Amino acid sequence: MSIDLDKRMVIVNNDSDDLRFGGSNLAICVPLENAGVDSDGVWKSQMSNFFPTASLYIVDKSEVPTDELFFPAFKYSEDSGFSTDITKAKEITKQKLRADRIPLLEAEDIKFQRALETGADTTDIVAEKQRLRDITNDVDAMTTEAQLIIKRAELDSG
Amino acid sequence: MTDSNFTKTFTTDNFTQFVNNTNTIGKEVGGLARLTTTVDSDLVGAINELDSDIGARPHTTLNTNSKTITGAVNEIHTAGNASLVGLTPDSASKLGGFNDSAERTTVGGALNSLSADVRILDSDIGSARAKTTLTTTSKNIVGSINELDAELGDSALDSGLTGMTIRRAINALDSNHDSATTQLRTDIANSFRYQTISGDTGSDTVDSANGSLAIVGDTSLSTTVSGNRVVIDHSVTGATDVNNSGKTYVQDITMDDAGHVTAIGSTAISGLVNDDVAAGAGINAEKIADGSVSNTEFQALNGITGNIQTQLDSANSTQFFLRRLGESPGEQINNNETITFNASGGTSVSRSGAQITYSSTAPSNSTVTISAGTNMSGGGSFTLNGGGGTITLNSSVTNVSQLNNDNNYLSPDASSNISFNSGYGSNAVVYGVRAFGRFNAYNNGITTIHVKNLQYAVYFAQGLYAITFANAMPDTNYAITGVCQGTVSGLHPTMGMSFDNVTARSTSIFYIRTGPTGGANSQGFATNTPFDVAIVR
Repeated sequence: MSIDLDKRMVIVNNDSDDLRFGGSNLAICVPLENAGVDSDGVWKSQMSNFFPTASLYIVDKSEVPTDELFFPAFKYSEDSGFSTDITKAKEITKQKLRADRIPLLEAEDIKFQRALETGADTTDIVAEKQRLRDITNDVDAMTTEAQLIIKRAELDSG
Repeated sequence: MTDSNFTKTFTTDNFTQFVNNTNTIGKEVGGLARLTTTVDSDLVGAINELDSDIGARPHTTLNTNSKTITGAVNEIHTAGNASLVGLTPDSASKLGGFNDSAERTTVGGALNSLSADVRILDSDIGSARAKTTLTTTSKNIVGSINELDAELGDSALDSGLTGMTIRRAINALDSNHDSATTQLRTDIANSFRYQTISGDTGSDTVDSANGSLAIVGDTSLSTTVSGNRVVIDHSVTGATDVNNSGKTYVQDITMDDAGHVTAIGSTAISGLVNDDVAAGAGINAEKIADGSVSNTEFQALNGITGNIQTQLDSANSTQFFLRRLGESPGEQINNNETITFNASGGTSVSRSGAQITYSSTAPSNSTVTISAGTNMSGGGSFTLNGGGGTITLNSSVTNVSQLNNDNNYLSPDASSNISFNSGYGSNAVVYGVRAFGRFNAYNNGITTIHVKNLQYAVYFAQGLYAITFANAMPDTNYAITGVCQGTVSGLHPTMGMSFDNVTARSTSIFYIRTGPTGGANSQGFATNTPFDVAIVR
């Protein structure tokens, strides 16, 4: 008998100095095929050796949100389950947009340089560069995770 | 002397006459000082005062027949309205408590008499108001009496008590109580009186009113009269209890004429012969002799056809030879030497040409251990077919050469490190992959394709994971090697893996990161990706 492979352990970080979490509020522990542990209690006991200050909760695999980008913003409590730290999600959204716009700005820079060389109109290029610079401006005013999910994909298609 | 004519003075009267007339008038009027009215200075005022006290003219306002005051007062008095002088007696000449004439002369006297009589009635009735002290449902005297009367029932008493009052009737019943009780007892006795007694063989006449029933005992029954009880008891005739728990049995039972057991004899069980034991009785071997031979050992005798000791002696004197085909004289096994095949499961030994095969057939997880002794060198081959189980070579330090052959294919050293050549060019210690796994990371989790000796995976974020060992490493001097799946089909993978430089590995956990590599992405976002990892130690 071993623990249920469809279970997950939520490891809630209670130590802000624990750098292993890479900025996430929590981590998800997955039992592997040969876990060989016969009870949730033993599982918790083993993981508490690695995370002595964390809070450990065992949930069903289906309860874990699947949004990978916002994972660092996820929070968990035994009473209300998983939720999203909107402030953190906004920052992740901004980081995503800033990373996405780098190649786009570089491409516009090339277009601009060529336009200068040919004397072509640069109005659209300047406007697009400004749009990319301002792409994160409205993020702070957003209040829901759904708004942020739409926003963060704004540059996915260029 | 009074004059019926009023006094007159004439002008012709002399002064003397005038004086006399005046005095006469004064005398007839009387002195004003004698007036008792409030107004006493003149006669008219006094008369008017009296007139005022009398009121309107009596003859016009009096309701009596007489219209004068005196007449009216007398009329009230004499007519009985102001006194009881006119009270009419009843048929018994009773005057309602006013029998004395003095009680009837004045209203005040009559009322006082009435008041005295009312007090007597009050005393007779009780000091408190009847309606507050009556215990009947009705709270007035008539109602209460009627209620009591209803409870007494019809005033007519039954025959025998007719004409009596209730009190006399009760007294009559009380005086007849004893005789009535005696009669009742007689009636009851007659009701329960029996006059016939029946037995098994017939009946006889007996009158319980004056007869008696005798119970006669004999040597088996005794009768005892104790007060109003007859006790019938069985007489003890001498039989005693017998306990057959001591491997004895009841042998004789003696009975008297009445069928009573008077004696029981027991004797010990002895003298059993073969016929007394049933076939297949299943007597345990442990009950034979000193009990040291078990049933299993006893059953092993099945099939023996001759003297066992003789056969053993003969076998012990035999010498065995173990040799390969064509080899002579082979290895001699003397009678003080032993060839042992140790196996916990079913074991079979077979030979095919120059090859001897030992195999374990059951149970499937059994272990076959061969203690080789000291002479397993030479040519040929020694094959262990594990059948999927574990093959353990117990090589002691002093006998490590037993696992060598001329080519040093396999050579454990004194530290239990195994060395082999196998094309390396020389015998050298080999090291192993102690754990490995194939993973896929997505949707904030990790799935496995195949893992060995890895117990848990921890997902911290995209491309940031920890993996724990099922069996811990002896130290942290193990090597982590891993590759990630490429992101573009057909091109060199741009995804790489690194062990985490923030958190140190331990003997039970290590941390890795995966993500894009090369160019501007070298320090970019860590990214989820399928990856393989192996631990070498």
